[in-house]
Amino acid sequence: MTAKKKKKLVKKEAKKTVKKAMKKAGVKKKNTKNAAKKVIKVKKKAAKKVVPKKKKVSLPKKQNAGKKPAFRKAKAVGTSKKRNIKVDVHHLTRVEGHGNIVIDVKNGIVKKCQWQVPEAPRFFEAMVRDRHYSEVARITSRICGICSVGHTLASVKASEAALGIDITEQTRNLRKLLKHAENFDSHILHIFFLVAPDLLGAPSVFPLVEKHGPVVAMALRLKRLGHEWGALIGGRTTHPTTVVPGGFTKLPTEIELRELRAKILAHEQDLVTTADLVLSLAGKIPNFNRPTEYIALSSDDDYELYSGEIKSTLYDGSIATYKVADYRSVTNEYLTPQSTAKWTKNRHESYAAGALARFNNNYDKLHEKALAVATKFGLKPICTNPFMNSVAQLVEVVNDVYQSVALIDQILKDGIKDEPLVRPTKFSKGAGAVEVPRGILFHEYEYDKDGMCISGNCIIPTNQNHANIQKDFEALLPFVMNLNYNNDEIKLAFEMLVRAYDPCISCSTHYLDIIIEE
Amino acid sequence: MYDDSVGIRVANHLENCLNYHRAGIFFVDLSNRVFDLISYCDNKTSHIVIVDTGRLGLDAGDYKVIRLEQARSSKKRLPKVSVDVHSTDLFKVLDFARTLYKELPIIDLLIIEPKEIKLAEGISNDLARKIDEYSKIALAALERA
Repeated sequence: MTAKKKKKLVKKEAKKTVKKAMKKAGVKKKNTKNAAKKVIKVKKKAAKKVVPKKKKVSLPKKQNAGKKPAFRKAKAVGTSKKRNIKVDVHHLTRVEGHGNIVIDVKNGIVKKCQWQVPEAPRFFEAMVRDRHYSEVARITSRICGICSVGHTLASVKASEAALGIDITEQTRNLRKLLKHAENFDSHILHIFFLVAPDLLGAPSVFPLVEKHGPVVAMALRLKRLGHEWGALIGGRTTHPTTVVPGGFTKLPTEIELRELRAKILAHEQDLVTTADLVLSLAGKIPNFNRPTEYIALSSDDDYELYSGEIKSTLYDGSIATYKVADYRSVTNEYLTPQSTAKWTKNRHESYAAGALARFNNNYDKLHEKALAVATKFGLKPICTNPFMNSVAQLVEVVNDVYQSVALIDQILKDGIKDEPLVRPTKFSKGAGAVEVPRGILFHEYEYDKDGMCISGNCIIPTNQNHANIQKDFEALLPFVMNLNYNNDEIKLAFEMLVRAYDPCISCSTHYLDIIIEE
Repeated sequence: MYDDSVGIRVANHLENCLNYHRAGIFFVDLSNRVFDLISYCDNKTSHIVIVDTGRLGLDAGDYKVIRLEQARSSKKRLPKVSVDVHSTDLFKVLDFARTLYKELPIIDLLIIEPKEIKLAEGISNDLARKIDEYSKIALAALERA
C-alpha cells in the first residue's frame, strides 16, 4: 500500500470513529476535521501511557472523628497530571494576624505551595532592654491581647529563673488557675467563632446568628465565664496586673473563689451541649494525616500548662525530654524568605505545638471527663491529623473546667495567705516556659546587678508551627489533587488547615536583625 | 496608649478607689477586646455605659454623654462577613449583638476628648485630674433611666 493510500485510510477510519462518537453523544452538528485530529492524538497518547508501579508507604493509623470521610469524592475535574490550580488567599480571615496561602500548579506540576507570613516584626525583645525586672512582664504581655496571660506568666517565670526567685505553692496554684482561664476563653473563641463557620459552610459567625442564635448565645456565655474567671485572678481580662515576679499584688478572697467555683460548675450543661454539637459536625473534619513531631510541656503531676520539662513525641511514639533552660536546642530558629516570622525544627524538619501536641504528650494526665470527650470523638494518641487540633481544644476546655475546680478546692483547703513577694537572690540569665492556647511559649531574659534587663528572647508557639504548616501544605496538596477537588474546595481545605492551628501570627513576628545594603 | 487608657482608669477608680459596690453593677475592662462586649448585651443587662476617648472637637479633658442612637462610627463599615477579635468597630459589634439578642440594653457613651494618644504608659494631666469626675458622671448616667 502506498503512503498516500495509507493516509487516506487513516482519515477515513478517524471520520468513522468521530461519527460514531457524535452519534452516541447525540451531537448533530458536524465538525469532524479537528475532532479527527483529537481522536488521533488521544490514540497516540493512549499508546504511550505507562502505568507506574504502586509503592507501599506505611503511615501511622489514621485518626478521624467521623464515620464518613469528610473529603468526599468530587466530580472529576481533570487528572492530576493536567491540573491547573491557582489559589491566592491574601490575608487569611478568621485567624489572628496576617498570613497568605499561595498555590500555583501548572499542568499538574507544583510551581508554588507556600504559607507566607508578611507581618511586620514587633521588636519586643528590644523594648525590654534597659527595663527593670518589675516592668518586663507588663511590656511583654502586650505582645498579644488573646494570650496576654501566657506571655505574662512566661515572662515572670523567666525573670524568676534569672533572679533566683522560688515562688510559693499558693502562687503556683493561682497562676495555674489563671492559665486555665486563658486556655478556656481562647479555645471557646476558636471553636465557635473561627472554626465552626467552616464546618457549617458559612463565611463567618455573623450569618450563623439567624439560624443558630441560641448556640451563639451559649458560646458568648462561655466566653464571658472565661473573662470573669481570668479577671478575678489576673486583675483584668487582658494584660493581667496582679501577676508579678515573686507572687501576686492582689489575691482573690475565699468568697470570690467559692463564687467562681459555683459559676464554673453552673456552665456544665453548656459544655455537654458544646461537645455534642461539635460531635455532630465531626464528620466534616478532613481525614488527613502526616507523620509529625509534637512538642509540649510535660510533668508527672498534671496535664501541664504551667510547669514541667519540654517533651517531644514522634508519630512512632518515641520520646525525648529537655530542660526548659535548654529550649534553644529544641527550637533551632532560622529564617526563611517566605516569612517574616522565623521557623523552627527539632528532630525532624518541623514540629507542631498546641492542643494536639499537648494531647499527644500528656493524654494520660487528662481529667476523666475530658478523657470521656476524647473517647466520644475517637481521639487518642498519637493523632497525626492537624485538623483534629480543634477537637483537642474542646477536650482541653473540659479539662480546664475540672482541673480548675480541683485547684480552687486545694487553695480553699490550704486557706488564702497574705504572702509578701519573694525577692531576688541573684541577677543572671533565666528561661521560662508555659503552654498558651496555641502551644509552648518560651521567654528568656538576662539582668544586670541592678535588676535591669540586658537582653530578652521570646519564641512563640505560632512561629514554631509555621514550618509545620508549610510541611502540611506540601503533603495536603497532592492529597486533595488526587481526590480531584476543584479550586474552591482546595482553597477551603488549606484555609481550614491553617485555622486548625489557631495561629496568632502577629505574636510570632518579633525581632529581626536587619542588614541594610547600600 | 496614654489618654486612651482613661476608660480602664475610670473602671478601676470606681471599683477600687471609690469602692463602689452595688448589687447588679459590674465594672468590665474590655481593653482592646471590643468583641467581648457582646456577651454583656443580653437581656439580663438593663444599661451599659461605655467610657472611652473620642475626637469631639472639645478641649482636652472635656466630655459628652450621648446615647448610642445619636452616634455613628467614622470607620468605613466592613462587610458583614468579617470579624477581627483584636480591633473591631464598636458599632459593628453592637449590630451583631442586636441581631443575636433582638434588643439591646440602654447604651450610653461617655466620650472624653484626649490630649494625646500615643504608645506610652501614663495619662495626660488634663485627664488624670478629672478621673473622679468622669467616674461620677458614668455612675449618674448608669442610674438615670
